[in-house]
Amino acid sequence: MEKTFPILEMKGIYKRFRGTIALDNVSLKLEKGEVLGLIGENGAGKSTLMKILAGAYVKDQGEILLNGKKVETFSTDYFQELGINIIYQELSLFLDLNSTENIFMHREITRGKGLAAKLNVKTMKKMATKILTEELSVNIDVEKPVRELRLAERQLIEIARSLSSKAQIIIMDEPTAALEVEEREQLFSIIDRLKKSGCSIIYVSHALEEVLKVCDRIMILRDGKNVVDVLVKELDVNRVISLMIGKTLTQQYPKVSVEIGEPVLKVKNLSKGTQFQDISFDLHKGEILGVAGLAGCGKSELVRSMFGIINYDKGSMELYGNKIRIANVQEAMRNKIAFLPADRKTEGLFLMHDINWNTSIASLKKITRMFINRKKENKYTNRYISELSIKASGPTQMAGNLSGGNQQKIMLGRWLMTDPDIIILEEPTRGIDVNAKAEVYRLMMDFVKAGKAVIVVSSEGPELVGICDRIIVMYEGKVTKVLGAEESTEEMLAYYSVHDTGGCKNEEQCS
Amino acid sequence: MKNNVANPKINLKDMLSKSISGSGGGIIIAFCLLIVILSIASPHFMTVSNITIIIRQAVFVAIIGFGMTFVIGMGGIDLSVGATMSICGLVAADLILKGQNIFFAILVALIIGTFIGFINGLLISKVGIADFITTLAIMSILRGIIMVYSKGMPIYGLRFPELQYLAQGFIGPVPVPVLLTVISMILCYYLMYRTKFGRYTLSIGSNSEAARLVGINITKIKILVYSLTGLLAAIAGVLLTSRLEAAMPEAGMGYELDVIAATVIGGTSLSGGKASLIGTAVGAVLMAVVRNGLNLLNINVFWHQVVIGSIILIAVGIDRFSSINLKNGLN
Repeated sequence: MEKTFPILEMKGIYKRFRGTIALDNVSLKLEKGEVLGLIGENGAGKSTLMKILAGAYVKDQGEILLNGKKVETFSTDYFQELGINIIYQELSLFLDLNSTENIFMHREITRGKGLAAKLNVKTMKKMATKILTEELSVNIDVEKPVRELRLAERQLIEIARSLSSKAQIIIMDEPTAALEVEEREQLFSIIDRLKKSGCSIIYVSHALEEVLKVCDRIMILRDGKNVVDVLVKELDVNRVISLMIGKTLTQQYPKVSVEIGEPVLKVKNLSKGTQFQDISFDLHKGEILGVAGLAGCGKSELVRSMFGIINYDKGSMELYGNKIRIANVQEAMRNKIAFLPADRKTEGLFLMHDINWNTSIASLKKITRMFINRKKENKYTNRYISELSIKASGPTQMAGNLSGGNQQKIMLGRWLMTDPDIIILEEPTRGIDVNAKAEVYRLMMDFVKAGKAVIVVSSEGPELVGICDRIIVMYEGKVTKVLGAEESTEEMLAYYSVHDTGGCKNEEQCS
Repeated sequence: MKNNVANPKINLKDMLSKSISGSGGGIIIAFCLLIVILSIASPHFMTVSNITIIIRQAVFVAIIGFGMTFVIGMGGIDLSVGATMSICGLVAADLILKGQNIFFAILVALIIGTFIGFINGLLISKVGIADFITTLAIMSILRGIIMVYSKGMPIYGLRFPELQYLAQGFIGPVPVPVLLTVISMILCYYLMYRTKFGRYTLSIGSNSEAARLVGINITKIKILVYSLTGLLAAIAGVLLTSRLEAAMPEAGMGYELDVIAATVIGGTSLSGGKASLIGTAVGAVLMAVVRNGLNLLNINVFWHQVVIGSIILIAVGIDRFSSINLKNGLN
């Protein structure tokens, strides 16, 4: 009788970097047609393990078995040849090339051999279309440049790329981070289909609810060690969190009740072309106001216009009863508004500069007479490092060397240093781990407790429901619903994110 | 980059460590090697008079290089500096020869230089033409104007003691142009590392979108940076006129390349964000040493460009290599 092997087995994997042990005797088993969830806090060793599987790192000790056969060669090319494919969080597509070209990148079908061989464009196009329509059942124009595709579609191109290489194992790193609810559902059904066709998937994510929903089995890493490897049905979110961080997190969403005061900011009929129309709402003292909606619903443009990055063409804003016109970022800042953009790496941080630089950059005038007072700067930075419990070697550590959670805290510190009355946060917890998330929420609570106000734009339904006093839901540039804390549920957010209620001119109509 | 944050006072150690860490050490190695080789190869190299020649040669590239350090640190480039230097020197010479007050003439030249930089900055930031194209076109325009203005003839015979003093005088044992260079460097150093202006400049070079979102007025900073560079190019132009006691229409041809080379081998990153003013000064001296050494060794002038090009590649190559190692070490 033939013995069956798991498709992939990693045994006793050990890896160290300059004195720190990244992986300590880690084992992993993956069966054919199985979806394995790999979770753990930032720094738990997930990415190191995945990079070893992608051939980007070589293990120090341990063995990797594929279908029971020991793997002896370690290179990215060889691992791809073996049928292991990784889809990174930051998609690695060529935006100016079309889907076909991306799917067959570096695996082009040619007539003849060598770099000068003629590309067999027709065959590739046919195959690309076949994969997309038959295997993934989506309709994407294979000749459109990838730049013109939506984020979710781009991800599908990456998946198609894996399929075209006959991948047996696909590793997905935070696949839903940038996706909206509906697109996520689409991805889940595709994962399901892949599974049925015998493909195995390793699903790496911080979104625990989703991991529990999608995966068959879950493996948790903590501090470079295996913690647990169990079937999903034996777990729930709270159990997973406590296993991940090694203790029980008292509250995932530390909502405290803060008295809601008088309106701070009144937004009236704000409009910008086709991006958003007739948006009106009040923001009160002590309030956390959520803005929900799918990508492209205008939520990002709305808050960006309130910060002067985009100029709105109609409507008005009133701050403490005084009319204000915000035409640029400087004016927004003068009115004590702060803004944390969604993409902290490209829009927020100066990665090659230190924490001092990144913290003080928005409030240099506070520490400058003729010259920048470095002593004062250092003092401020140290204050935020301790208040926000930023884990760093000191104020002179480069921002680029910090984990996502700490980077986000630096962004918070930067804007807290400007003494704002209103903070607008866009995707404040994207790509950061559970502990850091809880701390970011705590900081938001501290901020509103001091009588200030927060606007938070997020595509994480549970997050909005968990922390907001009120949530504005947008659909196609209009507000479709305003939900109070008691009535808001994820289902309602999802419902109003895709349903046109005709828009509402004022809050009374919508609530 | 090491920041002596704990010590807000500026000191030599801080400056040196900044220059060395900024340039990744590549330039220091190249520099020492070159000096050793030249000292062995030519007995004239290590003489006081020859070293004075080298330093006097280096001041022009250094002064403009300080401006270029801001431009490149901001992620930009300025190809018009050679032509700016040339036209400013020419205007000063012409005005003086026509009987204008020397200080007035110099002031006019400096204003013109600053104005050229201002136009560069305006076209780049307001109109949005790429820096490379803008400054290339301005260079071409200036070169044309120089020819029209001078009819292709040099202006010479500027034997005025006040003018000569600028490039040929001494204060104690120190040549005036060297003093001027050191003063410009110190001022630029403070501007770069101790003021908001410098912070904002490097922040734009590091991440211009993030800079915009923290309320930095990018247009203003860009215009100021290019204006500063224009001013420094004008100072170099006046110094050159003073030194030659004449103004040549073809002066400063190809100077932009020497200046950019000195800046980049000095450790200022071409992708912006990091800048080393001391590195630029060392880079300028290095360029002058190379040219001087080639002359001393009687190497055919035609070969000079080949050697200089190779040195740029080697210095930047070493730098790149060490920064890649650094990066790998961090991950």
